[in-house]
Amino acid sequence: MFIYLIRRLNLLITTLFVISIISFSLGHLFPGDPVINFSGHPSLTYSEYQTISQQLALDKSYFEQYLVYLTRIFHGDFGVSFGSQKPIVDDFFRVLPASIELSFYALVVTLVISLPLGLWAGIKNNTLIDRVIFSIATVFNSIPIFWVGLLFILIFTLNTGWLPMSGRLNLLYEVPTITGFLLLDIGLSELPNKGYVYLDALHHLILPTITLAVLPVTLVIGMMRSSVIHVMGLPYIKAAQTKGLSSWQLISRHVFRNALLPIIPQFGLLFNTLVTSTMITEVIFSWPGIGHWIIEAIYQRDFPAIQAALFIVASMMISINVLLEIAHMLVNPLMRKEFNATK
Amino acid sequence: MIKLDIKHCWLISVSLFYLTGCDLAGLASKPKPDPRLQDGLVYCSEGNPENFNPQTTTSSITLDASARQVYDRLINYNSTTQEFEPGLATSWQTSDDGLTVDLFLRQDVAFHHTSYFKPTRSFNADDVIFSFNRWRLKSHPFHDVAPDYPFVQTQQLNLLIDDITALSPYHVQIKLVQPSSSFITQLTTDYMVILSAEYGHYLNLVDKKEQIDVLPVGTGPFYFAQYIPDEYIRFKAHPNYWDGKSKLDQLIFDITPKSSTRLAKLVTGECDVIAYPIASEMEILQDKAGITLQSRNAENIAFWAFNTLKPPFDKPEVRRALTRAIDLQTILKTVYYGMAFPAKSVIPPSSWGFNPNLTLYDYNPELAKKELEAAGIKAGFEMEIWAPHIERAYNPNSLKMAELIKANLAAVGIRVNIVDYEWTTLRKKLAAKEHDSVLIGWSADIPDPDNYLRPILSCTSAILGNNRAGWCNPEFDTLLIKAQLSENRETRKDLYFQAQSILNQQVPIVPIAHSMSFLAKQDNVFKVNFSAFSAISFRETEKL
Repeated sequence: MFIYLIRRLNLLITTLFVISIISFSLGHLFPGDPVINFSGHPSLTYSEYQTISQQLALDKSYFEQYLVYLTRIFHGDFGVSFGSQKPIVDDFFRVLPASIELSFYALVVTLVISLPLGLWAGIKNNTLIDRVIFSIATVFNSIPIFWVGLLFILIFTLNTGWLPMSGRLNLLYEVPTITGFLLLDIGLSELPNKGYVYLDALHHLILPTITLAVLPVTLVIGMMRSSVIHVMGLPYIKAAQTKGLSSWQLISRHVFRNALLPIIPQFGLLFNTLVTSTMITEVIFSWPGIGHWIIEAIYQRDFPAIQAALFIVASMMISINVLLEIAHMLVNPLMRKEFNATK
Repeated sequence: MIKLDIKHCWLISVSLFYLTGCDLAGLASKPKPDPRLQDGLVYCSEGNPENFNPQTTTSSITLDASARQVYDRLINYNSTTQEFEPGLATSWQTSDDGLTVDLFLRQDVAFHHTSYFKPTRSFNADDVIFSFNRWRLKSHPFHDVAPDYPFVQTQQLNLLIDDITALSPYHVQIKLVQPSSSFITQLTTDYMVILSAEYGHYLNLVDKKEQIDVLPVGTGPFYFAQYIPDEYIRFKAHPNYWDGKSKLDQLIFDITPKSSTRLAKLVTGECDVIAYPIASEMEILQDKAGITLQSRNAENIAFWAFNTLKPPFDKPEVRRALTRAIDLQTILKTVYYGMAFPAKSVIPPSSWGFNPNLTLYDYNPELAKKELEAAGIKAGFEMEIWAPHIERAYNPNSLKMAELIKANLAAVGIRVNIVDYEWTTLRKKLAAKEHDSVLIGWSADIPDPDNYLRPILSCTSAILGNNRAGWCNPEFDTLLIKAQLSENRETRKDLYFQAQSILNQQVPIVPIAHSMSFLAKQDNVFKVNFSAFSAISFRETEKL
């Protein structure tokens, strides 16, 4: 158990180390002066240049520079953005809630839709229902998400005019940012007639959420289906059945839980898909989150922002993956057993 | 085979599906419009402004976002009647010798009351002096806040004005060094805005001088509320505007760099007005019910500028050969879809200064190739073309144009790298003269031929303005100065003809097209001021 934790942490630290090396080297590899790339101040006077250069140890060896860079990162100092001339961390945390909000709703939609459908398809294995569900899932799994997004825009926005195609809220509503999570902020604000505002926010949410949920839904349906098929073939299900349990009891007590357990670690994988898809979805629907922010940074050659984004997003993904794995090991006794046995 | 009770399965899945599904169906039906949305207007603009002070820039995005919304000028120019109209000055008078201009100011004009500044007095002569001296005098506390003042410096207004004095709180006298035919016209341009002197003093006290251009305070129809780069700018109606409060409560600039997205947002009603729909989209817009197009005269020029400070582009023969290698007809067809006039000179044919007698460089790749070889450019020579990736009034698609030029140049053995920059970044890099060549352009601010030549080709503009060729020709500059001093139109015309001949001979820039520009809006939006020689204005706009 202890060794397992050490191994996971080792993996985490090594990967973070590699990422920090890459991110650090970008400061030197990007065109332009490293002093400017690291600090984000495009026009410096001679004395400012000297001060910053010394602060960042850019006149010393690469190793020392790297150490200074690490220290800065630990203090949350990624320099300022070329574009906004504000600390990158501030910009990052301004846009982060929008992305989290979108991903969270997509995750909820994913679980609500895909688990029952996967379960149903698994139980009715090799019947018409199974085939219909599974083929639809396969079709949507094969369609690139940006295309789904555009298709949705074409159908629900341009042709029918039912839903808006960009942003989180009609800009004419002025909702003060308190938490950054729009639905919470609307509740906390002092706007009259909040009903209208909520309705507008939900309208804006529908298309991005569904677009983002498409891929995870198909993945989870597939996982759940095969897991259910596997569980259904196991002897204890037969035993439970002979005991006279009704199908409802059988499914809710035995099949659902046991089928869910092995696919939980794969949610880490799901998380990766979700983060990548969030970025694409944000760009399609002009959703002011991380993805949108990074793409704009790339267009504007905002090197400090690109560098920081690479580091922060990558470390977040790795940390969450490792944490998920550890959490799974803690809750699932079978995993521990497997681990001990193969040790 | 296990027998299952189908009913239960149905129940679970359908009820879960229904939970999400019914919500969607309920929301998808159109809600009743909220009255709040009727009182605001969303203008989908094409990019991020650099700041909110027109004095410091010539970028039309910045001008659109500030010149006519946040600020007022002393005198306005009405392009329909072609007459001057009172602005913050109720009347003005030029002395007989042309050296003194007296301006009588409007009383009780309120400045914006914002979250970052509360004014205690109304507009008076101090504000005029503060605003003009900011770009005029190096000793002014705010002069160094901005790196330069490109319009006034290239027009040399800072040298033209000898002194500005307040004879009374509502009477300003401007003394000129020499008579100028266009001084009053220049006062009407987007750049001649009036800032608040009181705000300036306050910022000076708290030592936050930079804030003056970022968080603006003016007397205009709207006050600045919020700006989030890449997302939006929020303006609100100035409740005490001297010319009557705007019919709109809010004005939003929704920053949407992609033209196709702007178009889609106009169709879905998310934008009330959109900037610069491109020519290829005109057909869709013309057929669409509920949308109207407004057009503006082609008072602009798109050109391809060579960095003449960088070899081999410092040689006129190289530039001439490159000009011959470009197929302008195809560019007009594919980039402008016929919505532009071919540019024979920098000055458009509609202007009286246009020289119709220039010998043009016809498209001739064989000759171009020979000339390039003669000039020492070997096959396989590499160069960069920079192109902004947003639409401009004069150029709907610089990237496509760059691709066409790339193909043309490949035919004469030159390899082209297209570098595509975001607008603000591009302008910064151009000012540093890091480019080989760039596809850019110019929109005129006043109906005077001088305004096409001086801001983009004079020696002053090479140092601090929009002379993207970095080209400086003393003979050309002398002609411009002579023309500016002369009152006689025939003499001026003759001088501008000569100046254009020099340009045609030297080709620091290749004129490409004079493009018509458009604005598209919903049918329920009226009175958007979209005319040549002015930034967009929503002062009188109504939404019904």
